[in-house]
Amino acid sequence: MSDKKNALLKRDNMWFVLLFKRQLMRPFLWVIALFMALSVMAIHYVTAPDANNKKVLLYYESGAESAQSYGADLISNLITASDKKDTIFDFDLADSYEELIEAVTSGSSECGFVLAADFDERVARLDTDELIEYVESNYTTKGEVAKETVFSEFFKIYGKILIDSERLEIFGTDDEELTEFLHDEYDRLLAGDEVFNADYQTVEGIRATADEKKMQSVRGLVMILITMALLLNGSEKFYGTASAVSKALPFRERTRFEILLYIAGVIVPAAVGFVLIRILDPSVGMIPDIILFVIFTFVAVMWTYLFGKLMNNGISYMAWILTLLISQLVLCPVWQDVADYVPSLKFVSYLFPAGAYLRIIGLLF
Amino acid sequence: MKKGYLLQYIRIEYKRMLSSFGQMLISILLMSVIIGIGTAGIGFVMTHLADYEKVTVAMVLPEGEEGSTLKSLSSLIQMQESVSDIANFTYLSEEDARKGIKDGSIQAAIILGDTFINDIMTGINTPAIVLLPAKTELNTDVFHEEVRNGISLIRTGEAGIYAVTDTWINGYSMVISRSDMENLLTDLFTINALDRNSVINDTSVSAFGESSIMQYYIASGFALILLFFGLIFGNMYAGNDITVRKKLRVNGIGPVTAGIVRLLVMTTFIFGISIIAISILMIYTNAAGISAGIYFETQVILGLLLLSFSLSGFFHFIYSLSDIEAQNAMILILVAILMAFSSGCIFPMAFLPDVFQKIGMFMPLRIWRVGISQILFSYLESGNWMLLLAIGIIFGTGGIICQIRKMHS
Repeated sequence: MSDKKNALLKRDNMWFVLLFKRQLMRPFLWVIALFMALSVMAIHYVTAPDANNKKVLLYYESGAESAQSYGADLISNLITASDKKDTIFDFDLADSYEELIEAVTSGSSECGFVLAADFDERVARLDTDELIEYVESNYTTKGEVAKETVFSEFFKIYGKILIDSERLEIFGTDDEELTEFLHDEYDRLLAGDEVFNADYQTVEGIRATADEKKMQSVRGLVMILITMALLLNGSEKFYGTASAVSKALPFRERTRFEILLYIAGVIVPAAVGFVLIRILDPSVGMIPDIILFVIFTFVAVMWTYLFGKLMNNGISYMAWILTLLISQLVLCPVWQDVADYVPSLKFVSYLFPAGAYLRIIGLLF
Repeated sequence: MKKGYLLQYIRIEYKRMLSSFGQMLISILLMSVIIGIGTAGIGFVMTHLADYEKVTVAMVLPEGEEGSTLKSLSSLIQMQESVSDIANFTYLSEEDARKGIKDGSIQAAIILGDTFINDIMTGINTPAIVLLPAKTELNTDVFHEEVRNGISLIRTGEAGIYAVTDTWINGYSMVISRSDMENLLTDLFTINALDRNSVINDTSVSAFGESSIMQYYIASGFALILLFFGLIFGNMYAGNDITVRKKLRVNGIGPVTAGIVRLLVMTTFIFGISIIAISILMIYTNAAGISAGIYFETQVILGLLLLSFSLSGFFHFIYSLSDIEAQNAMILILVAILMAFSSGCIFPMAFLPDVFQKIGMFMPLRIWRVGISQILFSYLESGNWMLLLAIGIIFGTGGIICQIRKMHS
């Protein structure tokens, strides 16, 4: 009995080695691996807008020309305020108007402010109409607050010009010494405690909503692409030469042969995928990562094998590959968890290898 | 070549197409629905990508007349866009407000004392008390920022008036009375602070171009479904095709005529499918009460015909690449996925890394997506009109050249 088992095992090994060699020689396998590496890298660097984004870009065309200018002061005050954590926004200078527009459009900046080219002259003339351009996108959430922050900083600078404009009417003189005294007083008061203030008190309490879900987008995408590679490989059943071999085998042996065929086809994409995961997102320990990855790659093998059994038309099988790819991207928690909006979809996502893999990683780590 | 022969050939190609269409109808329909739901899902996720949760802020106001004055004042403040964007207000007693922050039901409280208005009038600066939870999260921080901004405006105005007063106290005489000076500066600062919306003008940019997120994903889903329908045309190029082709050529139907006939057949089918898809979309949006603004007009029909031609040229090229049907289908799938990512059908192109944005600019799927969006929601610009036609002609010719080469090999 055990001899028979050994012989079977030996034959399985031989099948596997031959199938694997055959796979390695197919250019298609390497195309898939390359495609996988490219798309995972691309997706990893996608900048999706985030409700917690606090970056605000500033741009002033004439900014570099003079050190002593209202516009340059406003910008440096805002940036200093961010450095000193006096504001929640991270104000930063954009190199060009286009850069600012691009950053806001792509959501990498929450919003942006562009000072008019003749900012200084117009402020000096008390002509403040449309002095600052505020750039927002459909993903801007706190832009109106950022506007208030920019305006309140601007108002501090502008306040001095306002009192200057009424100096002659109030004091009846243009005396320089008086002006200097007035400005110094204004600066001192603005920095001190003599003017109105709020007393911020803290109350110990629980955090209302705290948990930030970490999305495993690299892992998710790798698992989805492994499933896709397996599905594409599975089209052999309809067109390839290996299907002729499997048809000649009795049922039990055919099953073993077909599963070995899938495994031989998944080794290279899986290896590439795992390397990508370790490079781009090494948040899980090496050993548990390997174990889970191997288990779920095997789950994906079985899943595609069973799926292939359901199909009997080559073209509709091909059509399903694209459909399954899109449904997995939506249903599995790759970038966003749709289950947050439609809770029942959580169970649907378990039906896909990638969905189950991500949910179990989410539960364990 | 006999004219009757050509007509018969066209009839046979249509018949072949119809029969393979019939065979796959159910699975095709099912998959279109899934792709439709999929893109709708992506659109939904994209719409809610930056959902912002407002904080609940308690106002603690004194009782009596002063309280009601402050209440109407605070409702004025709440109407400011910057405030209403981030906070909901509720009026509570100080005790309830502290309790609320402790149990997390409110995220901040502002306490104004009994003598608040009187103090401001007389220049005594009793600070307003702002209660915040010890461990704040971002949304509370944003509210904190807003309070700080409001207070900063008051501080600036006060600093201006006090600076002039201090200058006067320090021996510089004024030519107007102190109260006139205070009124003058209060008016000046208040007017300028209230006028802040005219200082800052708004510009909106969008990763979705001129269309709304919904329109963008309708166009994306539509383009993806049409691209995916390309898989059913595989049957037209099936198996031991070459022998048949050679026989046909003997009867005068060479690769060029055959290519044109196939383009015609595919164009008709894609056009039919897009008309059906638009009808379903119209019925759905009507039933759901969404106004998507889609109507059948002459320019829509003409635009769709052009789009269908453009797609069929592309399919003709892909299916002429290899003799093995499965390989062509695989190429179509890989190209479709690559294009779906880089042409902005899943993420808008502005979110993609630079390299992919550049690749995406040359992808036919991007032109189809933009074309569909313009056909459905505005009008097809002449540049895109030309591009669609060019894609159809270039790829169609490429396909015919491949077929000629195959014939000679």
